[in-house]
Amino acid sequence: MWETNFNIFPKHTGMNEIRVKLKGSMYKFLYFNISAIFISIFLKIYIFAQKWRVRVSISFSLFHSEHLASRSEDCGEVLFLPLKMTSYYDIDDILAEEEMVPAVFLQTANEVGIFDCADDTNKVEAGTHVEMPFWLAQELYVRQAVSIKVPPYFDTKAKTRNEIGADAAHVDLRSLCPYFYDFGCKIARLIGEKTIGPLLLVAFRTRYREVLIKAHTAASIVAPKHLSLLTKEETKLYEAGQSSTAAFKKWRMGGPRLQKASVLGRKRKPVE
Amino acid sequence: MASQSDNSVAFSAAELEFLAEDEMIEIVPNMRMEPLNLISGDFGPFRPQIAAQVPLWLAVALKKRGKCTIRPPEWMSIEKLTQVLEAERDSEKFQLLPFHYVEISRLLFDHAREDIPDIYMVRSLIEDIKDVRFHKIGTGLEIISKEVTYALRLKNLSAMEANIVRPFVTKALQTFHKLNTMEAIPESGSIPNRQRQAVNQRDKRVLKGR
Repeated sequence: MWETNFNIFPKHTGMNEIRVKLKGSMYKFLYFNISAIFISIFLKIYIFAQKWRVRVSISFSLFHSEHLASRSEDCGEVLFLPLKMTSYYDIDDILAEEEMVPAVFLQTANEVGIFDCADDTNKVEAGTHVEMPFWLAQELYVRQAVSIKVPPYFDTKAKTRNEIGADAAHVDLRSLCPYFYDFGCKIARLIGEKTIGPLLLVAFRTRYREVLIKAHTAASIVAPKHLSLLTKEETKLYEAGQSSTAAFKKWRMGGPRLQKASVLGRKRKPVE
Repeated sequence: MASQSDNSVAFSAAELEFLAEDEMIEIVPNMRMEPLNLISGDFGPFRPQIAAQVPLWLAVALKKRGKCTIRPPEWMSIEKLTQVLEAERDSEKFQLLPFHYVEISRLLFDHAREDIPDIYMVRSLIEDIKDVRFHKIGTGLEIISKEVTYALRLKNLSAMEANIVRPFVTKALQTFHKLNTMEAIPESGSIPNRQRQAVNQRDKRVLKGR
């Protein structure tokens, strides 16, 4: 039932082989060998077409919409893919780079006294230890102006590492760094620290299970203590599960089936 | 495109209900009517006491006007549902049920209560089946954390169930994918290379002697 390890990300080709089998009759076996991008575009068109509430069987040049969804006698297979990647405008991606990192200036720099304002010279001597946001440190690091150290919670000898090893689910990662995973990925990539990757993975694996259980069971009762431990990424995951479960419950309970358009309720202005 | 939220990936429950209304169902009309020629097909002719196949939305519309009785689908009987419930409890796998069983059953319970025999029993059976399946999904999703997972394939999952877990699962898969690739390829080489290049460029920037 839970098949997970089929290969849809072949390393070299860049092509994704996706076998979509949604129905059980003779057309129902579609075999595509096209890129995932194409499929996602197609699915978007399809979803929009459905959203427009047109009661028409929509046919595309490539294949018929009926093959893909609604009309079926039995359940097909459902395939979940991680299609969405971070975009340029992703606000969380931007915020994750705000995190402060310890850095050491390798060269004397003028006009940056803001980091280390001992006197009026408005400059920073080589070898000064400063804290700067990651987005700045990144650029300076590439230009060899500073060297970056990992923040204390990623340090190999730090207490956090042991805590995560012991019981990741109860470590307060949010107070350490609200974007623990995103930021961890970024800094590990930049300075080539190999121990951070496994640390993040172990932490997320353990914590994922907690989030999973909490998101789908505690329907509307929010567990505030638990929530305050979660990082931003985990909170989003929790909310995704929570809101879809809540939306389903609401639908099942019933309520107004037909909603009045906002235009309809208004009274016409009396004509004078 | 940037402003598009994640919500565009998932349907709302009402949208799924709309899609489910295209499923065919049998009705017994009590009026006489010419065949209806719709874009999605021709339905009818309708004769009193002669069963006809129509989409669910049409059935519900006729039912509301008292023009027909709806015959509950085959799977919606106490025997069938009891079987499914037992099998669902015993086995790991999801049992075969209509893709839109949640939506169809709700539509019928709302609009055609008197046409379903033993409605209370049927309703509680479907509720039980749904609960068992949801619990199975919940426990099953733990597998993502146990091994390296790139995608998840589920057999016989219904539309509503898939829709409920979709935002959560895709987000979780995305994060795992990111962290897994991090672990597999520690890109230690990339940045220092860039740095070295920068250094080299600077070294090379010597004016040519004339």
